[in-house]
Amino acid sequence: MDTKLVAALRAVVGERGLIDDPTRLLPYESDGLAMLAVRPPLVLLPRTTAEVARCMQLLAEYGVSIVARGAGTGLAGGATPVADGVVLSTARMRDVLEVNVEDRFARVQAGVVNVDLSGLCQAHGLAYAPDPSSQMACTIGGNVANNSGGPHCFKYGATTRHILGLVIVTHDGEILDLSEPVVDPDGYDLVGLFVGSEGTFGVATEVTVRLVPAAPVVEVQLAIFADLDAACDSVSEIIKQRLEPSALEILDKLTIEAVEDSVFAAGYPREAEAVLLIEVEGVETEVNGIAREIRTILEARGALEIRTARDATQRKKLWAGRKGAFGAMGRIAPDLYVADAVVPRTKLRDLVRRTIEICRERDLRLANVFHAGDGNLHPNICYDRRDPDEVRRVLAAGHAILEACVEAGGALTGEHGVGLEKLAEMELLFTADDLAAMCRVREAWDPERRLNPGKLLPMHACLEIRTAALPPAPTSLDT
Amino acid sequence: MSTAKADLRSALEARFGDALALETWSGPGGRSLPLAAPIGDEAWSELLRFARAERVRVLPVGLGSKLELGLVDQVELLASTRSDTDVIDYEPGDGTLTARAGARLGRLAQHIRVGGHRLTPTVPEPERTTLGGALAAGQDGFDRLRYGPIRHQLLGLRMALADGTIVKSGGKLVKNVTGYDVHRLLAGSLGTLAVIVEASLRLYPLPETHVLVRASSGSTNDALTTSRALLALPIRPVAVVARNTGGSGWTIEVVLEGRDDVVTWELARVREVLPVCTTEGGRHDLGAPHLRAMSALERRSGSWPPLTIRTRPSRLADALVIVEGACLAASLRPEIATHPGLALAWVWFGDELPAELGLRLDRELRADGHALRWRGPQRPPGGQDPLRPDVPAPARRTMFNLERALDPDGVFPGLRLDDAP
Amino acid sequence: MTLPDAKSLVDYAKSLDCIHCGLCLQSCPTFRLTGAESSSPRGRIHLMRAIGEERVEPNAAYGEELEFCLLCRHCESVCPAGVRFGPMMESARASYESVRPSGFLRRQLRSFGFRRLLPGRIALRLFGSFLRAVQVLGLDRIAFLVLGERGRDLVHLPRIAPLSARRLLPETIEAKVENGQEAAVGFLEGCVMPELFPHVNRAAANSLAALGARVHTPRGIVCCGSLHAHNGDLEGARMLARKLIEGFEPIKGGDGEAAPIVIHSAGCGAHMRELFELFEADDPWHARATAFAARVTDFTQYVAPLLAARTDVELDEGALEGPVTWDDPCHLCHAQGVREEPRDILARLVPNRRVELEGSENCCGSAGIYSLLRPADSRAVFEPKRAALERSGARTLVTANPGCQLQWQTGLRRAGSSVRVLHLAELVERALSRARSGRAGQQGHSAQQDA
Repeated sequence: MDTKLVAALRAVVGERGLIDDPTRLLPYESDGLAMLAVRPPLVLLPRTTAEVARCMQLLAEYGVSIVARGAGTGLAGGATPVADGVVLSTARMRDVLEVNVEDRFARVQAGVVNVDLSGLCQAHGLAYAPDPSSQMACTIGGNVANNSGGPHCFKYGATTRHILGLVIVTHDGEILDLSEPVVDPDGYDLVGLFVGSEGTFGVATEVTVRLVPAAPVVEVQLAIFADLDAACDSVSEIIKQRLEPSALEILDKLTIEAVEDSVFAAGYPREAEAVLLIEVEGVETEVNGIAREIRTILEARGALEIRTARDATQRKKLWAGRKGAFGAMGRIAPDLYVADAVVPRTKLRDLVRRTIEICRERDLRLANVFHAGDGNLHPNICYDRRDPDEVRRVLAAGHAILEACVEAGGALTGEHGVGLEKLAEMELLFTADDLAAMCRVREAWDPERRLNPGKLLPMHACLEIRTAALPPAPTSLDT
Repeated sequence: MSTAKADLRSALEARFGDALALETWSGPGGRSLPLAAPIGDEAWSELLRFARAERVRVLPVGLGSKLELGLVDQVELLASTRSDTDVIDYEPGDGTLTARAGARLGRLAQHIRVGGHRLTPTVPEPERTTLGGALAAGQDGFDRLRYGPIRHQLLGLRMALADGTIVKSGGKLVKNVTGYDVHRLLAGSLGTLAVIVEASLRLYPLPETHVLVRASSGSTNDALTTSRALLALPIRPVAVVARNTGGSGWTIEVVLEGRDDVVTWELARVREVLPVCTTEGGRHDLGAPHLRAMSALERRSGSWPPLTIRTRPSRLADALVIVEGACLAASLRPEIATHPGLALAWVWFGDELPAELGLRLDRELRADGHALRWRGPQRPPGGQDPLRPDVPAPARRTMFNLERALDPDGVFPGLRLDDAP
Repeated sequence: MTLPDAKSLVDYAKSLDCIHCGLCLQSCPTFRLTGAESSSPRGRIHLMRAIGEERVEPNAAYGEELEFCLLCRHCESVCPAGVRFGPMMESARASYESVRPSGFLRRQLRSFGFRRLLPGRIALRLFGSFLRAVQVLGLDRIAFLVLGERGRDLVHLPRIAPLSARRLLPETIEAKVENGQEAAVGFLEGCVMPELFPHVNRAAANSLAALGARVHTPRGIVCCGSLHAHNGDLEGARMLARKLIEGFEPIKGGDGEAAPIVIHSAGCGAHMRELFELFEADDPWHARATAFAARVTDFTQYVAPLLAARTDVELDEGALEGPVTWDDPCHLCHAQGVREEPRDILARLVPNRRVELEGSENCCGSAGIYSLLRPADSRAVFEPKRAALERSGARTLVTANPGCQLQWQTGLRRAGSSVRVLHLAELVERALSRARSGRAGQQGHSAQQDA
């Protein structure tokens, strides 16, 4: 990296806002997808929109690429650095700028942590609805980049439905102030387009989010099944009967065991083949009515036992098991590959079965824990990164699962994003024309393709040369 | 000009024969244009390739009910989705619907009713509103408060680009983040970027029952205060509307829908705020006269509101003070309908809006920080141009780049983004 | 000294337990301070793993990230994969200590501090008296001239009591039982406690006695060695651990069973509960340390059920001003998982007056001798805690660890705050003595305290 550039950047962000020591850069080499690693030459930690803009002007002058990073909890390699580009982290941008209770919105810096946002408005009876499982660490800026989901998106919709405005710094360091929370965008919906663009359109530095009234009554039901199929079928039936719980989550046996061994032990019965976690919220009458009808379905589908919790502590405990499930898998395997496919909710059972077959054929251990209500599968495949053959089998299984889901009318990702991980599979879902159109949209924002280059769109779709596919071992991409 | 038009018509006939079902569209001021109605991806593709090669500007339209924005002045040809009306896929078990862009919202609503679903928006004239037209216009229904704007219902699109390629964005799934949300860009883009040829929507359960609560209120202030009290209740109304009536008073209407027991409970809460009120209701049926009247709110007095004001909920009263003050000074009594929960207000001025008054409103509302949109001939000369987005210049520049990226040759008309480089 | 092989520099096998999910980030005080991934638990484990894989040298930047860590172990409470960060960090620090380029002065200071001062009662007593002399002479006000940043807080330290008030506990305190069974407990005075907080030691021991336990404080046991273990002197820690085990092994209850060892310093307790971590599994000391560790219990855990059985313990209205809040010592909530008991006790002592402290499980920046070694960082970590205390409106802050107590007292005095900082044992003793004097029909007599 040009020393004059580094000096100029240092002048903008200060000594603590810049990391160029090779040792301290090392932990930035991966995000939540530890399989991929590229050590960046420089990390910037600006504090304000103005600093971000100034940095991006300088980087534009020198033609340097930029990979934006929130908390680095993404599971698709969306924040994996590039070898000759800087990482721009929002970790020091965590000011709450405004909480407007009357108009039900909040304006925050991009580095504010998701769970803090909810904590912030709790006292006013309001909530920020999207709750990715990593909410205790992930940032709102990262949520915007990935259009993140979470269990409650079943009722409330993904992040995009909750973003009212943004301040975006563009590739050349210009500030797009779209932060005013009006009900409709004037002209094109730049905010709606930006959400989910995985850092390829610009860097969101401030976010205006919608706050929703917290439900007065919340009931969590835990249904225990001796059979995973029955749990899946229950979900399909609930959807078919158009009942509206606020979340529907399934955990299979292996997941239950891992969770029960972890700090998030939630009292899930270890002998169950599957548990279905259901949350119903609303006013008393509504919750009673919906919960009753759901119970009827669960019983008809052979639930062995149904536990319910309305008390906040008990509910939190049942949920903690679900939210900590991914990490808890660390106990049953050194490494974990999490797929994120979506399927029509009529086909849940078939596709879950298919994932099990695919893994069995390749002699891999599979744990299923997923947002069943949205048809969002999360097959978690256990492996050990030190076993190259196993890594190859895992990647092949991941690919086969996505293929099966696309064939069934599904899609590649429900909430984690495409990142680097699912680049190859983009062509399963989209034609060359589809991808070319997306490339054109991307170039309208970033004509030099310096923003998170190589992510989201297969490069050859943009007439670029595609670099290496996923590496067989963790360190081979390290420079 | 007229020879060129005649040439275009014959060129189209020569190239496509009867396939485009060519008609003539006649607009205000004696203007007439050829109107083509392709059916199917292939036909759209060919028409656009033709237009691009012949340098003919095309405006995609549904049934042409929203042409007063002025885009029609920029084009030589109208391309309507009106004949491309098939339902592609309704999956009751998944709660999703995919249809061609020309399908009428009213027919779609009937189609999915059998499976126990409803769709949103519930627009003023559902039998005369196409799916594609509603999407391109970013059209609202009276039920937006509960269900959100149309862009939030959109799961995915097929669109015909200016070069004739047909591409998709999103899909039919209720949750999906694969690729860019280009469909979100198309929603509300007024046909300036691409033609929406097919769209997938998220559906909602058909409510068991509904009820419309109506009460009268005194002053504007009373009406807004009462509305806010209603909005603060722990209920999920489909609509809370306040509109002024012939005299000096206001009417407040609340629509509830859903499960029987819940609606009963919510109605009791509403009555606590509105002790004196009338109710109408029963099994949910959008054909019921009172719900038809609610959904026709935006076409009060038989026309679209010439002025739409969008602001923050807490600022709606300020905006109305400006409107009423200026109108009173000019001895004009405007009709006003508002969705206080959405901070949205529509204003009708009657037959005549003096240009001076229009300009004053334009100036004062914007100076006070409200966003507004004029529609139709009452827009005062020099007032906010609905085709020129009222956003900071850098945002307009990005919009310009997007327009150029998707339609580099100007096959479609454009927004006024000309202050961009 | 020859360089050890890379894998032995860190606990490589344990470092693989981390799946890089990042859920720990926001729990980490140093990450919250800097936003730097290398200063987060995930980042530090990543570096340890890289050391093991020889992708990076154990250089100064690595060492700095190790030392920057407060070892508060908050990350362990939130780690879904159950990574035990504390022991990993301790062993990484110890190995780093063996390879780091270290100046003469540093080696001398470490040797003096860890091998002479902390383990020796006489040295500590002298040090306490020296500090008192400094305070009496007012030299603390100019200490920064000699000590720099480190000396700046000396003036805010609590006053050291005269030697007469710093007397050690008797080897045995008899139980104050009126009826029923007498129990026995082992008790540890600790290293700096008798110098800085002699009244807290007495309060804890008297409370235990008042609740029916004969309190044994073995002679000659001074420091538990936790500071050594945290700061890379595992050998020193082992030495002290053996003394500890030997000193407490003979203490038995009336039934001949090994008596519980009740610890009122969360940092010491956390270390003693994991004492076996210091010894290889085939070391005979490992088994003895395991048995020892199983006996260790925190003061709050021991006391809570006993208090719950009584109805007569409530603090007098005038004892404390305003709302009372509890600040969880990291080594109590994160390292020992004790959260409910202190709250239960407070709920009993000051019903209706307890308020929650926002972020009560976040580190206050004390972290053993961290506040001494890195005063600026320690203060930066403390600042949001102070702000949260202010928001809580509490007039009394209660904790259960001498380090935290010192950090709060010093920090609040620095900030000009008048909020009182107390050890939970002080409240328990006061309530118990009030109950007893109430029962005895006596007035105004505050039991045997300071008799």
